[in-house]
Amino acid sequence: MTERLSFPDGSAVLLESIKSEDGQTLGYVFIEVDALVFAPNWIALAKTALIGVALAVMLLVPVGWWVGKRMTQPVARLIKVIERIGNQPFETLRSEVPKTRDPELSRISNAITQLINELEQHGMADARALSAERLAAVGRMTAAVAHEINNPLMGLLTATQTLRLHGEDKKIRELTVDLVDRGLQQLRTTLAALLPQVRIEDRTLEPGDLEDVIRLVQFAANSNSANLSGRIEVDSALRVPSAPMRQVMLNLLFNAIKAAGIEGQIEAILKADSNKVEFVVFNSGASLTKEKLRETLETESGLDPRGFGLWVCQELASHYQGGLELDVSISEGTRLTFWIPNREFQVDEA
Amino acid sequence: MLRRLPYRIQIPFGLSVAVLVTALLVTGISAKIYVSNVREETLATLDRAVVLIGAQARPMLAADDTWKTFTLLRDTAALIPGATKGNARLALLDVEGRVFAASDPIKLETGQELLGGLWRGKVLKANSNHNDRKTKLPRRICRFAGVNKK
Repeated sequence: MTERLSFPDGSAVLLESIKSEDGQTLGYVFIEVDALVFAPNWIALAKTALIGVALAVMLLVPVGWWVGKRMTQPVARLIKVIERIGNQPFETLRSEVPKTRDPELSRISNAITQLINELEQHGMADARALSAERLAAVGRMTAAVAHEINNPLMGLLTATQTLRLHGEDKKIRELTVDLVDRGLQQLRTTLAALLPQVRIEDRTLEPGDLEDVIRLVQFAANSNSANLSGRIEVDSALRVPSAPMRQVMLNLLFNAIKAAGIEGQIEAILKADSNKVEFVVFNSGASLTKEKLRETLETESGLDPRGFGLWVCQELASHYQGGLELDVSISEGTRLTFWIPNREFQVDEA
Repeated sequence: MLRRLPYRIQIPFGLSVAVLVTALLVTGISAKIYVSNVREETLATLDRAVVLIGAQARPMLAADDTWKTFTLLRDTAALIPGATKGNARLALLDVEGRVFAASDPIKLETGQELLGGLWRGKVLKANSNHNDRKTKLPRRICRFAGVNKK
């Protein structure tokens, strides 16, 4: 048995006895080895290690990168799908949601599919709502047109009745035929305003238009036993178009007759100077407050298609850069003033 | 900086770095095992050399043939790792533990008593309790080495 002695510096001594055939010790083999002999060959080792690391970099790192990319591929596809939501058809997006066996990714995929389904349903609901809104808008517009046509129509029917009863009188016949003619012209202009491709030159307002309008609404005043009077205070030439002004006068007078009630007083004044044309209507009915007027305008503008008179007046005032104002200085009754600048308006502008 | 990169880059990059770090760790552990194995392999080589030299030297010790012993040591020095570069020394001791012949007579003088004495702070002892054959150094060797016979 070889005896070994190791020293702190790494060197070692080996001692082995040499035996004879009969087991007697003949001597010893003594070997002393310096620590340097046990030192590894660092250069050879480094070479091997470098080859190993180089192989790892060349083979394993690309494999690791590929595995990582493969792992994140479903996530990347999900991100692409999410990015394109709203820009591409839902069916396409739904087909591109990755199907994986991974439970967590499956949950995300299912959630995105559900999101796409809900968005699709929302889109369909929005389309239905938009369609309904369009139909409602068409209904409102139809109601407004009916309202604007109905106002002069009743006056015209009264005029034809007058013509039937007193047509023998030449003066009354001519007056009534002129009235009917101007009323029909107003209807034509009102309808033409709804057709963008039709451009009809409108004549300027004349003081006699107020008398026409009063005649047209007289039947309504008579049915309420109301007293309707008109006055003209024109100091300058009228340059405003007749159709919108007649429309405004009709609307405001019908509203005033309705507000004045039975045996009420209605007064209409057409004023004009070089700057503006005003139409003032007073009725002796209940006072109209600013809040009530605002509520009425807001209601007529959208939700309640039954009455469009005041709303149309305000829209026309806004269109012709004028105004619809309530006189709050009076304590009894209501006085509304519609005004627009006294100047000529181009057809396109109008 | 890694957190600023997109998720699609982070994972492949992380995996690649993990592979690289693993390769470096494996290389480091392999190096440590290699260092340990180098010592064990050197000692195993020395053990085999000791047995061989012991067997070869037995008849020469029995015959007290110093010159043949020197020849043996010279011829077998190549079996001892580091001996050719002077980093290992080989000697044959007589039964009393004195140097009978050595590969480096300057460092291990003939007749120098090694067994039972201190060697670099440690006591050199033979591990055998068998009956030892009391041999004496040949007269001519004693004269050569200047050792007084007891």
